[in-house]
Amino acid sequence: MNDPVQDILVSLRERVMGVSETVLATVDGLVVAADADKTHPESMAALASAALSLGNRLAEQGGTGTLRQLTAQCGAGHVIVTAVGTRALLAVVTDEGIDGLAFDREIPTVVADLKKILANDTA
Amino acid sequence: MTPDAPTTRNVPALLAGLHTEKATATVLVSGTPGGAIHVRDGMVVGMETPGAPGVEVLLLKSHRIAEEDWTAVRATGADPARVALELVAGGLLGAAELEITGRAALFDAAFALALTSPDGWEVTAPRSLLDTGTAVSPDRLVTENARRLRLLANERGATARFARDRLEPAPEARDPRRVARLSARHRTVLTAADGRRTPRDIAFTLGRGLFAVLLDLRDLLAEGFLRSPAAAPAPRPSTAPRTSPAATAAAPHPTAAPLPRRKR
Repeated sequence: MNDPVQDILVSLRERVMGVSETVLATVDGLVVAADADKTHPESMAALASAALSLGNRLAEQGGTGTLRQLTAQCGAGHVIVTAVGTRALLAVVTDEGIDGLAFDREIPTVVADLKKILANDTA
Repeated sequence: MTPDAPTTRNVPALLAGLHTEKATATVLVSGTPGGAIHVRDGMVVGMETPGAPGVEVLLLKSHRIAEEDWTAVRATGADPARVALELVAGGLLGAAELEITGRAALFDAAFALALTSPDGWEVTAPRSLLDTGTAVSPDRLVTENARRLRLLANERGATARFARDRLEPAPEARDPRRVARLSARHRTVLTAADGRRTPRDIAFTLGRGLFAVLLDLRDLLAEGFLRSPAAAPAPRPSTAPRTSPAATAAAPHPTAAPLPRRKR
């Protein structure tokens, strides 16, 4: 039987065209689960955690409210970092053809599902 | 489905209607994949869908146009829709070449959209698209799609399933002598097929059309170089709040505190 967290990551890639890699990490940058092949999950987790912290500071400086999502738009794809509650974060690597509508539709459920599972981690 | 369009059964019928009216509009199709179909004077001039690489991807990923040149043209303040035409004006791309690329991308997007049934569609005011000078009649798109489906499997369902398959290299693909006999084109597709990428992902990775990739994958599958992948499970560690050593206030030797450790 597969781990439910892993299943969520894989199903995100299967449901949203253009998602190629995902890494779920703790806010302090340790890998929790990864559906990755081309990216190095540990490095991605560390960088995404740093980026999310910076994003929170940016939001604070800009006075723009709570940070929702951080996107690095690149020539051949994007890296999107989303907070998963207060403990974890999700980094998603996509290609330039990402189905943005589907991604925006799916990501709240994915985050909610992950949050629910991670909340059960007590020890 | 829009309430104002009860008479149109499907997108081809809608496009045929727009063709007769010589309408100028953008049809937003929702579905997996969805997309935007741009119609000008009844002719289809472009389609954008996450299901197939567009003109920009085809030009940039193939290194036909360098990223710097693309950015430079964008930086001149030209209308984003005219970027490709500016490349032609600047002598970086032939006008015919652009039209062919635009036409190829258009047929490919139409093919990608035709593989699944849309959830609905909406005819909106014309939206901006990357101009390529291509214009194709809706009939031509329908016949081309039918031809492509016939070439692949003669059945839409089977082709749609094939287009979702994440093929991985079979043991055959590790035999250098057999791989050497493949064409360079097939070899590139074989390298990109890693068991994670769908044909659509491979098309984006290589900057090639979805249909062309599907044809090559079919060949590689028939030759035994590719196979359907097997799933591999993996456990995960806990995310429970770590008891930080600093939290225990009266730690006698702060230096002795271990680094935060992951709880299992």
